[in-house]
Amino acid sequence: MSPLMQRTMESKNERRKRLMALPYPEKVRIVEKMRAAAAEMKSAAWHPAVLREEPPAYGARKP
Amino acid sequence: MKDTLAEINELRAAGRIGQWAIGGAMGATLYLEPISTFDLDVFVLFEGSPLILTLTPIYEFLKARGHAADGDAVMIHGWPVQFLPAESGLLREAVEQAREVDFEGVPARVMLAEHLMAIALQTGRGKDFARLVTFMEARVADEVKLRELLERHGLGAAWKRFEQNYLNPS
Repeated sequence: MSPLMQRTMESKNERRKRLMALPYPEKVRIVEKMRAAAAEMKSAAWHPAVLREEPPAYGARKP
Repeated sequence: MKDTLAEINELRAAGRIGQWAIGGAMGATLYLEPISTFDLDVFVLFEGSPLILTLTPIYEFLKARGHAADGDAVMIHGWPVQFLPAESGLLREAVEQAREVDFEGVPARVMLAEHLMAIALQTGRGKDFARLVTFMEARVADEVKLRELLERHGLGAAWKRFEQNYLNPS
């Protein structure tokens, strides 16, 4: 494992430990934020903010 | 969540449910890092165990207090709460021995880590095994107590398979 990867894994582990040590109400507030974000993503999937256009008819003659 | 738990305590005070405890992802969140989930699983005991269990008294009580049903859950102060009867021996024990938690002044009960692990093993979906691995890595459970509990509820063989597949794969 490269030193960079090792540092990344260590910092991820530290973050997990910090999160685990939080008081329960604080963890619940984080879950509530994750729920809100997931709900937003779900609603965005149903109403994609993508402009849908007919594909251009390349080569078609102009009238 | 605080208001949600207070409402569940009202249900208990009104005698609609017996002892209760939080399980599932929100139960595991007490011991692990926060786990993304959409609902709150509340396992309940029914005192005097009627022959046919029904959740109607719970739904009626909550409806009268302004909480509407939302699929197989009830929306209580922003949380979809799923009430699950603790019917099996393992679930009953998990509710009876749950840990008392003070949630910002509101008393709540959360299943012990060992019970949450045994229930995850019994449920056996992919996400349950993933959570079990997280529990093992976090070393939050009493392993002696866990093994005794697994044997007592007939889950010893399932645990061996889990160990072979996920903890010592080689």
